[in-house]
Amino acid sequence: MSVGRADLVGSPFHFARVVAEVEEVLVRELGLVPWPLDPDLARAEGTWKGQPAVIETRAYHGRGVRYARFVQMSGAGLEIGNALCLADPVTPLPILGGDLVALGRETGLVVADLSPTLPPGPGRTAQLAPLAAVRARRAPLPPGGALPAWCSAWFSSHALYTRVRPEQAPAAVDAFRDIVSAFVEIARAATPRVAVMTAVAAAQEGYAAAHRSDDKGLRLLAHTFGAAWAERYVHAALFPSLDPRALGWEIALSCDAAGRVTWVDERTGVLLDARPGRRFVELVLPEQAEKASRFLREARAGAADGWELSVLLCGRPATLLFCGVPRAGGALLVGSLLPELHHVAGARVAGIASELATLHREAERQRRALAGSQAGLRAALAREHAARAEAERLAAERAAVLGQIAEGVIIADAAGRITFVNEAAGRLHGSVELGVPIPRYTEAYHLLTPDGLPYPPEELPLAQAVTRGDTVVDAEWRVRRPDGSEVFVQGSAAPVVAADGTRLGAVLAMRDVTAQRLLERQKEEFLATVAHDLKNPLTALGGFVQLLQGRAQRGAPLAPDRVVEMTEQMEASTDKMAAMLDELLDLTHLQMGRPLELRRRPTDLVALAREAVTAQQGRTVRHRIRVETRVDRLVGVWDPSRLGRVLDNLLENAIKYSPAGGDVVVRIDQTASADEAWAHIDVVDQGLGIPPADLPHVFERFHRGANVVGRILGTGIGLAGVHHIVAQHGGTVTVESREGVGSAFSVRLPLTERASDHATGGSTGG
Amino acid sequence: MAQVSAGIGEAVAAVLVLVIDNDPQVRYLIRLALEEEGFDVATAGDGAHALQLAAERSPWLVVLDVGLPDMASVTVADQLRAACPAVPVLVITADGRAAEKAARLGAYAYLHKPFDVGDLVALVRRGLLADR
Repeated sequence: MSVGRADLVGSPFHFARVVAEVEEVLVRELGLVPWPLDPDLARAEGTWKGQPAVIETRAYHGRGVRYARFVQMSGAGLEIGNALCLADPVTPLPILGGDLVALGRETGLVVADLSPTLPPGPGRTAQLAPLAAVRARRAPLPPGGALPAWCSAWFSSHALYTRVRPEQAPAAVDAFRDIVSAFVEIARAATPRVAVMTAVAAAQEGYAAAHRSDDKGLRLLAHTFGAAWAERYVHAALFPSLDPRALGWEIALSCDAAGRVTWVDERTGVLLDARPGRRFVELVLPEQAEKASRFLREARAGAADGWELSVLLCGRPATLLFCGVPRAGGALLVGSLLPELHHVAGARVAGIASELATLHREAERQRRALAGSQAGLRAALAREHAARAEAERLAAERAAVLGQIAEGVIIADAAGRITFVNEAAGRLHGSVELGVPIPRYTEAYHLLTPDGLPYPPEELPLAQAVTRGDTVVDAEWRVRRPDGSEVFVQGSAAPVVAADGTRLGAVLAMRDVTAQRLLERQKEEFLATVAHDLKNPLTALGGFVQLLQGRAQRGAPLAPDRVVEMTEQMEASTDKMAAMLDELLDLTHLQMGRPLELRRRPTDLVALAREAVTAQQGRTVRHRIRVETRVDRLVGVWDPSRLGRVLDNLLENAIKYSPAGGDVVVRIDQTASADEAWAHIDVVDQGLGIPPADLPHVFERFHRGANVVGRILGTGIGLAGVHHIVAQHGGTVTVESREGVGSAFSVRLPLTERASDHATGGSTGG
Repeated sequence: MAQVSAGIGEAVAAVLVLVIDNDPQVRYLIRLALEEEGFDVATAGDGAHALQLAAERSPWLVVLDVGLPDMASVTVADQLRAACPAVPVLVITADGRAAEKAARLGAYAYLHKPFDVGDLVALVRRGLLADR
């Protein structure tokens, strides 16, 4: 903004330059910043008395100043400088107005004042004290004449109004500069006071309205630059209207169904001392409580508008115009301070009939504008409400849907902060923390790489989806829950992108694959064990063949007893391999849920148990394995090789899981009732026992006790096979165990009549 | 028991090899193969029995199967050396990673199951020679 420029014309009064200097002072002292005007308003050219005329206007705003503008106009025999500074109504400042008009070369008119905005009284007097002081210092200037009524109604008693010749102009200009200095002094000392906001705004608006409609000088503008331009210029640049919303002349609050305040905007909190938890009816004057209740009811039921309610505004009764819309069972309420504005403005000009008429017109105009703005506001509120309701519905729907699904779902916003964690994801992690930023993902959710190292947060799938927009499919990681347990997780993440391409964040879906991973690991272990176990008989057989070949080549046959010995061992090896392959086949059946084809024949359980004990005793010197029975024989129609495997498995387990040695007892018994007879096999050891948590699962495939995994070789398949075989025989197998004491496996096999019927071939057992 | 016929066994009447394997047939095979070569052989099916034999009879060499039912192989190997310092250990295993295991157990050589009986005998001889 150029200031201090040369005069527009060579007037002896230099009024345009004076205004530019004042502009410079105010910009500097009050920290004003330019307020953009339409270019055709900022500078216009017209015709005055047949000669070109030009008008330039620069506007500003700043801290405590809502609008300031400076005008320079020149034409044939004409030079005008004009200044106006309106305070933000919350900051109680007088209105700085100055009009310096040179008419021809001989007459200069200077009008300037700090027009009061506070009601008459000590406050106003105190505020204008600096003005009174500077005005008293100067020698009197020639009078300007009678002030027009519209003007004097707003002026202070210290107003400057003088008509001077060129040689008297410096004194008049100095007086004007004094007034500007007083304004700066008042502005610097002013503190915001909400209580006087309505009074200040009313005074400003009354002042502006009077000037807009009644200042005869403004006809000059229409005459010089055209009526349409002048109309626009007066309302947009010279005396712009107060926008109630821009000034925050509305308060907003929401209430729940019970009429309790749930939210207030900042202004409401300051002006009405309203805070969440208070009842809305308590905010209005007691005599209007019933009216306030009705308004609230109507607002909750539908739109309510035009309700005048008197409230205590900064401790002073004031009438606000309320409208309300239903929201979330309660209502969103908006109160306008404008009725109070008109009331105050009206009071101030009471008694001056012509001004009343003007004000009435202006009031009507503003009321219409307000109605328009309120309609717009209502529409906006309705839109916002609908959007919010839709968003809430979608969020509720999302939470409900995502809460139900088994997959874990975590959602992050565009900044990567976690905004949503569904139930499954919460369970999976053992905790839920929202608002977590990317760098804290690993720490907050205890994430590990599959190898068990802390997962670099920025490399996590969700982080990649947020920061790079990458889609990550089937990544794997581990979660160490707060309770110490660990789960294997598989998940995929993808960015969430709005229709217009905006990145909204990312979503991560995951599932617990712990059981799968463990099963896979156990299967691998099982296959490794099977391969391992098969290598022993294979080694033995291959070795025997080699030895025999070697002997044959050397022409040195083995002694007959050695041959017998060796062939027995070879047979044992092939039996072992056959048994393993049988077991594998049975296992395949078990896995596919197919029944075994039992090869039933009369079988003596006591003999079978003795055979198994003898075989197993050959494998250990630290265990004493014995059979205990009250009967010499116990014959049923069973599959002897499968039952042999049941015994082998139970005994192998007993030996394997009592590494310190000890007694292993196989107890054979029978029980009978009127219509049922049962054979019992109990295998009791003094071993490690089975942890209580594992007991219900011991007969599941691949399940191994937590106290033996990684410590003792095993496939976790033997007991599943035992269960399968016994169940196929119509029997049951159960286990009792105490960790550190030992385990007792109990098999019960039916000795029913049906079974006896099959045993017609008689017993072969002995 | 020892039928001295060839090699190292000829020089010394009773070169005792301790064979530790939990599979009875594999134990029998190794016993047979080594006895054919004139070695004296003691066998054990688990670690505890093996340590007992080692303490009683001070074997010249140990053939150790990895994966005994009762004890970790490392423990068995350590305690064997405590009983018989510097005794050479030949590891046999049905598992993979045999070289790694053999190194961990301080074995001088290893064999994968199923192995060639000739290889076994040759490695046992080498172990005894290196030791002497």
